[in-house]
Amino acid sequence: MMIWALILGCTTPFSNTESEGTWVQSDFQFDLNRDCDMNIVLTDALQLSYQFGDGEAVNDSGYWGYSLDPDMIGSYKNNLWDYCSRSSSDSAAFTCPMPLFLAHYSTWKDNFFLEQVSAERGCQVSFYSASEEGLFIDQRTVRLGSSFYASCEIESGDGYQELGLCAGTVSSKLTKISTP
Amino acid sequence: MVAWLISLALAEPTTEVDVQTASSHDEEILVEHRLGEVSVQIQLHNGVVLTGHVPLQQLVLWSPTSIDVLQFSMNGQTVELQSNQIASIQQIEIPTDRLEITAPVTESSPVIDVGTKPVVESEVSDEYVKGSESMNLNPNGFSFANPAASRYLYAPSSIGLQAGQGYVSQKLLFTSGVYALTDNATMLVGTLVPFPLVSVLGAKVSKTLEPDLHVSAGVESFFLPFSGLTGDGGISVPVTIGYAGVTKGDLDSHISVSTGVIYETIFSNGNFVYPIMVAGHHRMSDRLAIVSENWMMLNTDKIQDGLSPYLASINSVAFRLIGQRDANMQIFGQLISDNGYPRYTWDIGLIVLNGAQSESLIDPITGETYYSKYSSSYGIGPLPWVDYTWHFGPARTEQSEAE
Repeated sequence: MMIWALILGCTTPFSNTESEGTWVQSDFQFDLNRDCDMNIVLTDALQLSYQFGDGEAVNDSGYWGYSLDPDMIGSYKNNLWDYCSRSSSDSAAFTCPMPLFLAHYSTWKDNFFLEQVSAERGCQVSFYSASEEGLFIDQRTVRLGSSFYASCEIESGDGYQELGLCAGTVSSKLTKISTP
Repeated sequence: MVAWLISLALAEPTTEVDVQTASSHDEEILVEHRLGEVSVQIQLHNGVVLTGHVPLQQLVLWSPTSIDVLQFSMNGQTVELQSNQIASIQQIEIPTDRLEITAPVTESSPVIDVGTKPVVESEVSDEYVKGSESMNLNPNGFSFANPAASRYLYAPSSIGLQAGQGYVSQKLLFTSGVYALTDNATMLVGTLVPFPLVSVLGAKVSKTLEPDLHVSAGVESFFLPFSGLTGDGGISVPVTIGYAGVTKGDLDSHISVSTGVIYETIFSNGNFVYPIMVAGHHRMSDRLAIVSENWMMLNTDKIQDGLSPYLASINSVAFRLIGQRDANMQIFGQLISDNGYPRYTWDIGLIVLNGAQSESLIDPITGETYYSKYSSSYGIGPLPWVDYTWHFGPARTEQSEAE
């Protein structure tokens, strides 16, 4: 029993203080449909940054209907814990209802395929079925894996018509660059 | 309940039958039976020395590599000895005032040695050894052989059953059956009851290297027999275990170390876990033994990430109320052996599960698994462990059981 106690004594539970600070997203990898090339859109050069902790309140008005309006969720990047959740307080894993990079949508949307379709054909860009899983690997690294389904739709006589599609999975990581 | 179990442990056989004491009438029968038999002293590989009789015809035709069994008679009982059990056979002198017919004995009776000396000269045993008074049926002095030496609480030892032996075990809600196809091979089936949602199939081969040193290897697959009803039509096999082990000791007191690999798809897309199992069994009386079985699960993939490979441990200790096998094949369902001992064995103890939970993330692009350095410990138990096992199949004699 002594051996087991020593082994269990070596465990390191996660605490909220580990997440405090500024984190920058990088190492994007994509597996998306052919039309949607995100390699030229989301790059390390963007230096997308995030804060965990007590940031601004969540703006729930970012959702309309069954989809998410990315222009309305910009404040999330300052308060990830307000919309990412964990199964327990000592869990190093978390889930978010959308990929974190959507919180910086205004930063990269000009090069986004669906926005270009929207500009050309007047359709509305919406994100469906988006989610992200994250894991604190250590004090300075978070791994992220996300999936999303986005389309540019326009209302026609038969309902909504999909004029462009961007769907698949994305992986990336966050690196802590400063602590408060 | 506790008092009843204690009484079971201390109970004497309900029908005392001293198989080692023959009446004068029996001796007459024995004498008649010994016509055409040779008095011999047989040493088994486990060190036990038997004195009795074998048919002359069988002895003449017998060889160390023979597949035929030797009909060995002692105290009115006849058992079959396999060639691979026998270390040596020595013809001995029986006083003529005790038996009407004895085998011819010279001062240089032949000894058949199974080892490197097929035939050597040996001294004649000048001490007549016969009867229950001097025959050590169990090297540790117990009244009967331990029928449950092949298993701990869940894990098997490397001590094999003999062909035709088996048992049915009820571990909480899990029922399993083990049957020895040969002296070296056993098969396992088991399932949850009353709903067979999880079942297991397994097999084990074992070999005795020395009288107190045994090795074994085996495989067990846990499967979901009804997964095809809700899944893709196939039977799911979420856990498969391959293992090898070594056991040091005799039937009554032994310790085992086993290791192997577990392939699981419950907590991952397919992960290898390496278990280390240390277990021990010590018999304290005819009916009572103490058993401990301890597992540690390791995931070596985490080492390359600079993390501890420790996943979980299971510790258990239990008292075993030992039953007995009969000398002959029994009728199914009979709970009392010929000698009046219960044919079933109870294990009653405690089990504790501890673990360190380290969360992981599978990269959706590369499929690589990332492990967090953060982990939390958990513990379950101690929980009660209760196992009822009913032994069936022909019992080995004390001597061959020890083999």
